[in-house]
Amino acid sequence: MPRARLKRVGNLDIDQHLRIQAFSWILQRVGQVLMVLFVGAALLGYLGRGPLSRATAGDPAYLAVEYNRFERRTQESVLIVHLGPQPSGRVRLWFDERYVSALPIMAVLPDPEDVEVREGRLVATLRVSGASSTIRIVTKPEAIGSVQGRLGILEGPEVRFSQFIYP
Amino acid sequence: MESVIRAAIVYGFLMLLFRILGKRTLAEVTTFDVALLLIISEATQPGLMGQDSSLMNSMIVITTLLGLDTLIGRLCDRMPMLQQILQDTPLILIEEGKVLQDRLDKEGVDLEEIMAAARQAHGLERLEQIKYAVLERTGGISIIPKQA
Repeated sequence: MPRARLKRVGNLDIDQHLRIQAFSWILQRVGQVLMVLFVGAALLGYLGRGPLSRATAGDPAYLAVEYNRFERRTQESVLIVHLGPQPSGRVRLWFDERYVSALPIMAVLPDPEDVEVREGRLVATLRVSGASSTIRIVTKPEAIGSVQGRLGILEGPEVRFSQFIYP
Repeated sequence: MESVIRAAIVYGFLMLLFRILGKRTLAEVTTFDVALLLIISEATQPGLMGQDSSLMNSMIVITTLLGLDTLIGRLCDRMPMLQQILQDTPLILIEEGKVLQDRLDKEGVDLEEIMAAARQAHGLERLEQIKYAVLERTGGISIIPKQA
């Protein structure tokens, strides 16, 4: 340490700086509050999955999606799609291709009968029955930041939702 | 590129966290602290390496971490203000035999810790035998005894 940085306090040559020390104490107090807020946000689900992260978009009578508002990159996530009655016993569910490239689909349950790409959309044909059906879509986020989700029933209702993906 | 960015972010985050927690955080490492350090290193590993566990990725991450540490060390040598901000400054806790209680409170140091350092370094028996006690930037406590 260069001699010029030392100050004499009493008989002691020391690099003590009370102004910087006061700044350190403020930094530490603010930082400790931020640490508590950070852990609190994680518990609540603002930094990933948690009670305040889960959300639903759309109308369950026709088409609704349960999703996590906050996701983490490379961590698998489940979208739950609620469908109203489908008299034909089949549904053609489409996903916006930009959304699929940001969050690649790893699995669809039940397995689709057919998958095709049509006009910037990924269209999956699924067999469904009963008054209402639930489809689970497993995705693995690859993008970082805000992603706009769009999916719908071909020639039917569509749902838009927004997710934020942490690195 | 991603490996370098990951390593830089983890380095910066750990530096910030230890700066926030203060000088005394790991000054005296207890058995529990060792266990905690091992858990922290385990928790850091996936963030540093991502899904790439190749030898090349490890080499990039290690080189980036050591390179950053050297770079910051050099910058601190040239810019004293940067060192004082990043690595804190020493603080006198006992000055000419007078205990500066407000500083002890703010740093979370108690007199027993000062006496422990005085016993270990100089075999001192009483607080009155201490002329200066300094909380060093490394978190250790230095004791300068009064002349007999």
